[in-house]
Amino acid sequence: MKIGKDKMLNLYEIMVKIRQFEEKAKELFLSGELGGFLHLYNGQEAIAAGVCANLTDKDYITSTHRGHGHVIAKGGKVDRMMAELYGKATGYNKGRGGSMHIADLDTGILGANGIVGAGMPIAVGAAFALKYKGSNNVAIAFFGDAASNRGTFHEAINMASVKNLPVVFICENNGFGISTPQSAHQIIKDVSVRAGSYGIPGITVDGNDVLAVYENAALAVSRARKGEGPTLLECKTWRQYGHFIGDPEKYKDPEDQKKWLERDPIQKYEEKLLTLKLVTMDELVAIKENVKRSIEEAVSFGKNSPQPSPKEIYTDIYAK
Amino acid sequence: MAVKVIMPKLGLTMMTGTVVQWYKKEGDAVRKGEDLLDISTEKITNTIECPADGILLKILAPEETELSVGALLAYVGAAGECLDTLNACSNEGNSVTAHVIPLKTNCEEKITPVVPQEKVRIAITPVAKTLAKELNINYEFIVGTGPRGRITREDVEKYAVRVTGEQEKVVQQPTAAAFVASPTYEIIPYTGMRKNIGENMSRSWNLAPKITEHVSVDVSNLVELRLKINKDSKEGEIKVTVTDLLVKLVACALQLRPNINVSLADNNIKVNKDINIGVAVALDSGLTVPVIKNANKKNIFKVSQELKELANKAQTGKLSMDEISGGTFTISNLGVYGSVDFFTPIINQPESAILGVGRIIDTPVAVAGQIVIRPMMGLSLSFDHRVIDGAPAAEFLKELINFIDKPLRVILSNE
Amino acid sequence: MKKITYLQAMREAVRLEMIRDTNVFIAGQDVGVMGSSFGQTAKLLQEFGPQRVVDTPISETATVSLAVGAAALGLRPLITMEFMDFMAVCMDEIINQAAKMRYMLGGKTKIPMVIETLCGGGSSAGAQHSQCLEALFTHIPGLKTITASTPADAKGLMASAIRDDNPVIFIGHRGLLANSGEVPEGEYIIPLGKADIKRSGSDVTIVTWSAMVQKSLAAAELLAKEGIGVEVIDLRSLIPLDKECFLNSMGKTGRLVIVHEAVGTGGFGAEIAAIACDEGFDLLDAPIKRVTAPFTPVPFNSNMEKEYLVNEDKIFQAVKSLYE
Repeated sequence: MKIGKDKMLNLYEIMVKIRQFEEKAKELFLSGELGGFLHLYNGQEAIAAGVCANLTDKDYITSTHRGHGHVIAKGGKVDRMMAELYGKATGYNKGRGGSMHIADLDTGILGANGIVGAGMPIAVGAAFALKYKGSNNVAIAFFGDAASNRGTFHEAINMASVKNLPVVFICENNGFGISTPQSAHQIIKDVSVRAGSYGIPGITVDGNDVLAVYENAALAVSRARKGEGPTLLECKTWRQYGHFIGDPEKYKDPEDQKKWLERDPIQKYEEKLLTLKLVTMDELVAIKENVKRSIEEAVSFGKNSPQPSPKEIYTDIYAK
Repeated sequence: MAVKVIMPKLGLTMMTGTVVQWYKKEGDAVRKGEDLLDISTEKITNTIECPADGILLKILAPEETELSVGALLAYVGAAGECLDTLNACSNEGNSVTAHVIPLKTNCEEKITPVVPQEKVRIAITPVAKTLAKELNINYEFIVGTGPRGRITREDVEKYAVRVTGEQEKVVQQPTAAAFVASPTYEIIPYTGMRKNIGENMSRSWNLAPKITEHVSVDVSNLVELRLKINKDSKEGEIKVTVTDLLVKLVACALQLRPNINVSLADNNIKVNKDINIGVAVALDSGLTVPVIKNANKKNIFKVSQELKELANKAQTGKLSMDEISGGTFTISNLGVYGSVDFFTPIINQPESAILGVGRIIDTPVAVAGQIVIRPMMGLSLSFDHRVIDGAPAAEFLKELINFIDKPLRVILSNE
Repeated sequence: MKKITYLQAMREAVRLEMIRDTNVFIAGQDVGVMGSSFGQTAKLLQEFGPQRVVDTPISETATVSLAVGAAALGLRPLITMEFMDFMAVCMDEIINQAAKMRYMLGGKTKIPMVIETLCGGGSSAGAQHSQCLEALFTHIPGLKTITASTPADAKGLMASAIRDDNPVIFIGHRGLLANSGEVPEGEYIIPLGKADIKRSGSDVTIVTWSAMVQKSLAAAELLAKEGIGVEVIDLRSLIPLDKECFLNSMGKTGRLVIVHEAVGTGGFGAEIAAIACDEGFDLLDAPIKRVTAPFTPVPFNSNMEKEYLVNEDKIFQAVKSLYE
């Protein structure tokens, strides 16, 4: 599979942007500036970046409670995301969603979701609508290993397969359902084997290798666009932080943590880009600096944006 | 030992009474048999005698208070008897004997003394409470007729009408206030006599499949007889009216046709031996029907005199329960207004028939092949078809027409 | 006007809306060849094809979310739940997804979808096929919950539900499906949120909905013979709620009886009673009464079910009790 330098650098920039956004969010959260919960995507950046690089604004994604990465990769603006984390009127959801529910229909983001496993059948519905309208666009459902135990996983994939819908199921297997390790929540090692039960292809890839994710997602998306039906793509990865900020992570084996941190997707990708001599260190530093500026601007935008009026709670419950 | 004055039951249907006026104040010396206070019920006012000699120690029911039968109105006792003692006594309940002697009606029911209630939270519905507040009424004095003695909206409305006189008072209802910004109408509470009439009429209308038979009667002889009777009357003497004559004639016709003088109750048709003729009397606030008892047995002057007295009492609200009950047939005469020939009166239940009387008007009629002018009067007989069929009603009318045509014989026969 | 059944009226509304708007499609179990268990979608497959009349696996969860996703992208799904009881299976999708999406997303999307379902006992269908669970949905902001008691209402409300830009739970009643009545032909719309006075009266207000409207009307007839004039208000739409209608009626009568087939505890009647006390306190001339099912599951045995269900006599007695 051919992939140009621009695309490769774009993947890098997205991953860096996600990482820096999360780090900044963590900093703000710990300083008490942000409310609610914060579920960070650190360590899984290659998956969002690799998958979404195959999509256009007219393709749709459903995300999870750990959704910042998906939103950024799908084209979400970090300033409006940050404003939403601040709960401001300028946020993507006018301050009514927060971290767990960021959505932007214009860029095909149907929303992060606070209920584990809920996004999958919604993505199936989006795929149904896309097919109904005769477009060749696709829907992507991001979810975790633990969500693959939900009934929604079964119902959604079964429905998608029996109706031959243009949807790709992306399982981000980060090893944990909150504190429960995969080995304790399912007896299988590869979630992708479940695809066989629905008569669809199931693939497992290294979720920390952005190029592997990109290429396999490209195959799955292409199948969907051609009307060949859904694919289950499992990306193995590691949640570098706890389930949420404040989680003491006592359940993690320090050895495992150490091993996976050595396989950090951004670091590995940097090494690859430098090894292949596609970029110089200066170029990468420049990208990081650029991103850093945009994140600072996003924080400033979020911080300085107006609060929504408390009376706003009464609007948008129903469409007129 | 103090004696209680209690709200008497002044008739079978009386549930509540209202204190109209006390003739004595607290502390006044009173004598047994003396007029103590006036009590009004729906239609009548009674003067209550004092039950014992002594001092009027305490009035518990101020004027305009409506209370249920048996409620405590006052204590009469020895001078110096203190109220604490009274309260102690009252808690003994039935050991205290009441002596209440209603003046003007026969009290058939035994009066049960009641223990005065301790000051408790008064059960009143929200709408009733709001209305009472709007009307500036102290609802403590209202007797609740709702479930568990709760004061309802209707109780307040009735009370309001009572304390402001029988005239309908314009009352803005809370419902209207709550939902209509500025009403374009006035609301007259449908209460008291108006509601009584309405309910009686509705009940009769729904109860009795009614037929009305109309006939136009030549009253030449009746008019002539009336003139003759009245011709010699002196100043101040009774003048007989057409209504008086009709009461007498109808009563005599009923004597011949007892199957009209009936009432239906509890699956029994009661054939009334007494012929008691009710006569509808129009009032400002509605109408009432005083009764001439045994009209068939009374001479025309007696009928006439009684009817005049009853009508006067009706106008001044002085009719006793006795005077407005016991009717077996009613006459409603709209003739005096000169605007009605025929109408379809509604039966005054539990009676079974009513005669509507129209105006007397000179009319061309055929007599022995000649067109002549005669004073004609419209009669409309409404009857309850459950118990009276068309034919017997027509036969009754035939008798009546015959009497109207030859009134003298009838008038003389019972003198 | 022609006379058709409640079932036919529901179907006619769906069919007309499908002709009117190609974004309307049906998805649910057995909606295709079978035409649904009770015939709600009979012959629609032949007319509109499998793309718009979509048989689904027995997957209530996926079906509701399919509707949510499709609605977010501009379609107008009508999905069916043969028995209201089954909606318990997909409550996350209804409560957390369909109802919340627009609000959580800052109003940037609309979720125009209808879940058509049938409730009601009386046929020994037992505890899992007889329930009236409307209160589960009226509690959720973002949902509209409507019921129909007559064929005409079924048609007009169904059409409105499909045209509405929000998730609407349309609750039909199995016991009413065969009832026939006059129904306007062609396009017929009854706005959601408008109660209907099915009978006027000045003494007692009965607030009710769905099959209990008929039972209340029957009781009102008996009560009229006792001289008690009952006003029967069919709420039709529980959310949005036409509270002015029953508050106005209470202003006239001062007495309120609420009748519903569902269990009383936590039922929507409690909400009506609360509103009546809160906003209509000064209108009340008697305590508020509720006539509901007892706090038990729906039994199977027909005599036991008779004991369970609200009937004319229970309504009659409740109204009479206001006067005792």
